[in-house]
Amino acid sequence: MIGRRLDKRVIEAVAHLPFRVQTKLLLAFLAIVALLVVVGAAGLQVLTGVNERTVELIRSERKIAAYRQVQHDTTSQLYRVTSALLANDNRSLDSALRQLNQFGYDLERLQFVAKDEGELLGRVKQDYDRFVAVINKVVELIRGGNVAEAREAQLKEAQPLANSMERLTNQLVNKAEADMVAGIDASENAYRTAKLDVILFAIGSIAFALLLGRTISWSLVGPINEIDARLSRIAEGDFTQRVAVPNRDEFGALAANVNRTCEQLGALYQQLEAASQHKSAFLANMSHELRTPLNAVIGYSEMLQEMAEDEGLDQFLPDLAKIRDAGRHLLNLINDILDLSKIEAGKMDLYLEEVDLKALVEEVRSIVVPLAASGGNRFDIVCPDQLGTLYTDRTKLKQSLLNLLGNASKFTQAGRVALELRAGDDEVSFIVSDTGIGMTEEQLGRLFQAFSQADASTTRRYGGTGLGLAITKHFCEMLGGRITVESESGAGSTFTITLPTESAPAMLEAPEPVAATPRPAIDDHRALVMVVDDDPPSRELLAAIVRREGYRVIEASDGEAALSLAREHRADIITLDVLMPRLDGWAVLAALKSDVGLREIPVIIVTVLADRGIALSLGATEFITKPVDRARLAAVIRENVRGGGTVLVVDDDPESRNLVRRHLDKLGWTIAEATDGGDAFEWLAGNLPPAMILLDLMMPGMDGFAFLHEIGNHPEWRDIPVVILTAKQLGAAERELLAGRTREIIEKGADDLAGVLRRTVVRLPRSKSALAAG
Amino acid sequence: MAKILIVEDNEMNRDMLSRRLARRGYAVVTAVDGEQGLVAAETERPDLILMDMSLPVMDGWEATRRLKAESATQTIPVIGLTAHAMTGDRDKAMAAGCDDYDTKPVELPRLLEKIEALLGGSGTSG
Repeated sequence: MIGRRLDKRVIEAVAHLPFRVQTKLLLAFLAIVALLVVVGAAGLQVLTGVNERTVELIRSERKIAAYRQVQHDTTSQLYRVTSALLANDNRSLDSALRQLNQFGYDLERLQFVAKDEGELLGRVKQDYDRFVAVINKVVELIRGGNVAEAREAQLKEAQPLANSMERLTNQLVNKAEADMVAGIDASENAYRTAKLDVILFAIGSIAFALLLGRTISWSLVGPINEIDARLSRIAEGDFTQRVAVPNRDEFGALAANVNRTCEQLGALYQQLEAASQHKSAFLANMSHELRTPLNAVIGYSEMLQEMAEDEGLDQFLPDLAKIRDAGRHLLNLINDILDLSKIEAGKMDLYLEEVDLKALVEEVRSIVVPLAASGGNRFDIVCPDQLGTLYTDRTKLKQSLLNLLGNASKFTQAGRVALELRAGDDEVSFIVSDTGIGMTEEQLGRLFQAFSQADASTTRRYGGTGLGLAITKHFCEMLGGRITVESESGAGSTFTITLPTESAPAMLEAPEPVAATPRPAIDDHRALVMVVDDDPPSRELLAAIVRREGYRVIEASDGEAALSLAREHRADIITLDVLMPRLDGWAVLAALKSDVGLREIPVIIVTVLADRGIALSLGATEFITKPVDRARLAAVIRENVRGGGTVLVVDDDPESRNLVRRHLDKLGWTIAEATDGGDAFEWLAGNLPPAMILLDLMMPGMDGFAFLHEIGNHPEWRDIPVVILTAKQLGAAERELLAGRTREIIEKGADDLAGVLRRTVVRLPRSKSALAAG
Repeated sequence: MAKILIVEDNEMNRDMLSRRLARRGYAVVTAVDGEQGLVAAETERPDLILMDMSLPVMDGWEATRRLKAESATQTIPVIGLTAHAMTGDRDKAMAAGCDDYDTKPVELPRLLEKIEALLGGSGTSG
């Protein structure tokens, strides 16, 4: 643990060095080379030592040989001299004296060999000199005829000296031999130590080199991994985090660049997303606004048609029909645009249910037969006798089929339009074919793009919005299927929709745009209830009850989906079935309660079982048995949906504030109070923005109108929803003034203040932090 | 003669629908928002209600919920009308207690069929 941390420190420190990458690599290389040189030098030194010792030993050996020679010579000299003296002839004496001289020279030369034995050798020489002197004296005496005296001198003076010399030369040899043995031992020890040193040093160097290499590599690989991971996240649409790289080299620069790019992309993405949302919201509003007058155009033209028919004014009929048809066409266009904008905004919901294919085909037939007939076409349906059901979105499938069949009828004259169904093991194909005008390669290429009919002139000749196929394609993909087309110009077209027999619940997320996190809908902040049940009818019933209470609903059809959806969407409350395949309700409950991020979400167990005890001990908030009592479920959800934050009540009347506090307390909201506008701003300045401001209009000091005006100047606060709670009778002008700035106007003394407040806060964002995280 | 209450805020739509239904022989009363719709349902006791869903003051969903919660009015069939044929709207309308549902602009023959079906059933006093 500590080692790892140290390791990390070192790597970071290396990364932090303000050198370029090649400089770092060069330094590391040089360091390793230096180590090699040092290891080599150490080895060389050991070798030199060994060599010196060997030379020394050889020298010692030679010395010993020389000493042995001296020892031997000493003995033989003494013997020879003694013999010559005994023989007593001149030649022998001369020869012996010569030899003795020669021996003296040999002794002299030994001086150069001897070092430690200098003193011993000196004594040998001393004895030798004295011996030579004695022998010379003895020879003189012998030559002088004084043999007896010579004998006397020889015995008394020469013999002890000879003995001493022999003893000394012996010592000399012994000492040299002992020195040599010691030398061999010392040499061996020195070699062993040196070898160990070299090995240890080499091992240390290798370890250091490895460590150095590793540190350098990780200081380079680490940032690459970091940057790579970040780039992957960016590719997935997450622009939130930054690369933290300690490097001050090229990688540091690269990371900084990645961060800057990420920031810019993120900003761009946000802008685009906001623009796209504005566009969608605008389109949705616009569509609604456009439809209202169109309703009138179509309705009145129809009515006029009827009246003209009744009164026999037949000459008006064709023109009235044109007005009506033009109106209907415009309406279709608007509806398609709205669909498309919803799809693109990710707001198109799926309603999955068991769809009886036979019934669906019949429905389609009844609509398509007259369409096909109007172009003089025959309409054939080819499908197997046994048609099962499909778990999918009925309306979207039907709309897709009608789009294709409508096109087929439109682009075919006096030919054949056919719908064929083919059921596979886990998918069903719907094949729509015609014998109409067909399309060229190039036309096929842009077929599924919005606003792109195969030919601009087509719109004029055949009508239609040019959006049908784009929408159909989106629908098919939302349902987990695909659409393909084959066509030949002049020979007709064949479209094939293939859908899985069961559109997975995961597909619910499919229409969400790239954003990795679900964004809060612009104006839909109602509390979110997740309904978990594997049985579709039962799940739908629960969802319907919950929707009816004014909550948003997400549905999960099994335990795993429940866990992932709960993480993704931060449900405010969960109703959980127990008997489910794979992961059952108890397991889901346990998983929810052990997840720090999810454990606060209240869970209501809804089951046919009677295990209330287990449920509560596992952390469930409530326990309801099936069949579900609507009122009870509604009440339990209401009690347990937590208010997610603070409501600032601005009112000078303490009674009013108390009343509101009592009601909202029960719903789990925290109440902050202010007595007038100025007080409220003070509170805002010192606290996180509240989820809502409940504002009285008539107050001393800064009143409600002034407060609203002022808060408009504070970008950080002006998006806080403001609800007016007032006793004032408001005129039309005042209402209009307030309408743009407030979410709702509640009159004090309303019969059902608790209910009104509840309905208002149910729609509030759950909490600022939840929103920010979302 | 069956009496139909039309709750619709848009004046032209209200006028058009009421005139066309009147031409078919229905007695028509109108209301312009949810609250007025509730009042009219109480006082006029219509045989059927055509309820626009996006209404000012009190929206159609809430008004329908209240109608269906009130014993005096809960037997009156309600046809919800919304501006667009998305499934969500239909579900929402049915969940609020509507007996049937249609989209605007109304296709009169289809709407008449639905009206006839609901009036022909039980629960209408004729």
